[in-house]
Amino acid sequence: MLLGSNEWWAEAMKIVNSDETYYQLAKNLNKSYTFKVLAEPENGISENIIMGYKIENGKIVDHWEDERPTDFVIAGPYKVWYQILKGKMGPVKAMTMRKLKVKGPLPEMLKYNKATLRWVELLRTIKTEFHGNYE
Amino acid sequence: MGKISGAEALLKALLMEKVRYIFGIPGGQWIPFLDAIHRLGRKEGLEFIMTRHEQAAAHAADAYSRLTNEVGVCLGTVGPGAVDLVPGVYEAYSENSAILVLTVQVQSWKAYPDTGSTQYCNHKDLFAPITKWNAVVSHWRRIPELVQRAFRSALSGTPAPVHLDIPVDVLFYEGDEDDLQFLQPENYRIMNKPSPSPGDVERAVELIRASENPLIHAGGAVQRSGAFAELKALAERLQAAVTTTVYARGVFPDNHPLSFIPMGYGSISAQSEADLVIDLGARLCAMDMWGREPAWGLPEAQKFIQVDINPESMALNRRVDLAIQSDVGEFLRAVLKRLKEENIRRNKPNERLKQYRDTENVWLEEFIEAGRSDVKPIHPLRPVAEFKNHFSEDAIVVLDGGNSQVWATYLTRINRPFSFLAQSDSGMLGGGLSKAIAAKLTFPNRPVYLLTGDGAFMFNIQEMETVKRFNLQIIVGIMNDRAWGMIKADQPEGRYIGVDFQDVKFAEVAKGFGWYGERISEPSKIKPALDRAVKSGEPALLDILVDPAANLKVPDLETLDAVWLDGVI
Ligand SMILES: Cc1ncc(C[n+]2csc(CCOP(=O)(O)OP(=O)(O)O)c2C)c(N)n1
Ligand SMILES: [Mg+2]
Repeated sequence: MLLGSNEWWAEAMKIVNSDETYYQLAKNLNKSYTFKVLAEPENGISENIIMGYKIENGKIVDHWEDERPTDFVIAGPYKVWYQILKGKMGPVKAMTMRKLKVKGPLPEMLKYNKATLRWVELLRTIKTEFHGNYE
Repeated sequence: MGKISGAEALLKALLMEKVRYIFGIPGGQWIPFLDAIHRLGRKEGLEFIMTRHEQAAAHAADAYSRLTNEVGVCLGTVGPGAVDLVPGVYEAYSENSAILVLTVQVQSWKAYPDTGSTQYCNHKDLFAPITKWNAVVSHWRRIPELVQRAFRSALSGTPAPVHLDIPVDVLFYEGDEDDLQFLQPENYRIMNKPSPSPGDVERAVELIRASENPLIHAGGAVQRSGAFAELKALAERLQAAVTTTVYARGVFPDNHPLSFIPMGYGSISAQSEADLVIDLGARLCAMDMWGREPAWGLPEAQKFIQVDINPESMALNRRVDLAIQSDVGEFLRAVLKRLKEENIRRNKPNERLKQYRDTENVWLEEFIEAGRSDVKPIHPLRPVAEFKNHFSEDAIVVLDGGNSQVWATYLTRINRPFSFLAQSDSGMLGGGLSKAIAAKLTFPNRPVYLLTGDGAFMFNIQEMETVKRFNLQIIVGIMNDRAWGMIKADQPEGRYIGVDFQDVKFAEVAKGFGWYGERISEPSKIKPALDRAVKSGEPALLDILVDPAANLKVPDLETLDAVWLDGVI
């Protein structure tokens, strides 16, 4: 499943929305997010990939591919997203090191840190295909 | 007046500065000085505290300085003794501690450069990079003058170590006391602290007036200025969140509703969102996450007032909107006065702080839980919680170690100034016990405890003898995972190298030193053991076998790594 494709999101929603651990950590979470996966022409990724999604009471309820105003915007090079999904880098480290730039209320992000970690763990279980040279 | 030797002159110059302790190990060249302390110093209240390693002497001098805002003094003999001081002086330098390092040198006519003397070492160059100022006392006549200069330098601006290297002939020489000038401190150094200019105060007041969500970030400068009441008054007046550097813990009570734990999620939240930061003497180094986003706000969205006694500390890591050279206490008093005159205050609590508190509480939840946990092997947070609960607020808490120190930071609460000693910017392991020695000597009526990693403790374990010799009741809790846990945690799983220890029966070792000692492997047995340890009236060591696997999993190690290995990983 290609990262960010409808198929990929459907799988992400299925896994995340049925995970009890995630639900317990995120049941009070109501936020929308934009991920900007930045182009890397040298690695065969010519355009930015935009992914937006919304979490309501700990469940992913919607996702989209255009740029809409969201509570959080998280941006970084393709390589960083790849490393995170491959389990080579933690999301907290990526943000602390500013490999991922976060716009949005940090206190909320930190408050749901454990939920984020679980979320990433779950996404790592998807058989993700990557773009360009990252295949 | 009569004759005075160099050794006596050195002693007299130190007594003029009301030095109480000199920590160190003598060598042959120091004998006239030690004898002067014996004959003349002790009756004036100066004690020589012999340690069992010079490194420990430097750590103790450092701790003494941090606990008193005075100059701590340590001493080593020519060559090996001087060289052994280095690690402790390095820490004092990194942590901005005012210490005076005294080394004795071979005869002046055989030194600089060397002609082959036993133990010769170029101390001047050796200490140059880890002191603010150092000098060779080239002649007996210069003793008082250079001691004064050393004190002036150590205490001016940002405090730091200073060093005097004294050739042995200078100590032995005898001359007329009339030829020397011993001055009282007020006759040779500035006793007042620099104040901000009225213009700076006005600009600060304007920034404060315009701010909706101010934050005060306090560094060690608050401790050095003693401006605890002023800090509290400003925070309460503005309903501002208060964060501190790791070093400065205690300058603002942890149990105050406006206080957030250093590097915790509450602090980071407040620091990231504040629209104004009033930085009291912190340079925003690595342990403050370099003062940049995401842990702090973007410069466009966050005004920054940096107050520092030393203009060279300004904007090292982050641009500032207002740079003020001032003692932080003088600054706080001047600003408070103007805020009162202008009737600027926030009357209701700052709503945002609730959210930061919430975030902090969520972050702390699992630590508090682990602190109560009965799992076996013992979770590293359990001893931290037990020690915290056992001792009063009056206790001086000393931390040392890798992951053990990180754990200890989570659940330790410091509500009073001059109550917390740890390494921060230096990252130096091993000074814990020596710092505890200085703490107990300086405050004999306050409980002193040390929580330490097993690795860190072993660096200066020999100081157990010093503790016993001076009969200091220090309570040590070793969080024993038989490993360099913090380093092991970062190694690829299963490919551990250079990080595992043999089992050491620390309680037996303690008994050998004449201490009270117990080994503990059950969580429920920590508390009763602590009771027995305190009741023993002796220095006491609890060797607490913590879960080696759990000790590898400090949740925030990732964040720390991100700071330490910035740009590399
Ligand atoms: C003098 C010194 N040597 C080496 C290091 C590198 N270092 C940092 S943490 C650490 C492990 C500390 O082990 P321990 O004191 O047992 O605490 P633990 O992490 O196991 O809790 C080491 C070796 C250091 N900081 N200081
Ligand atoms: Mg250890």
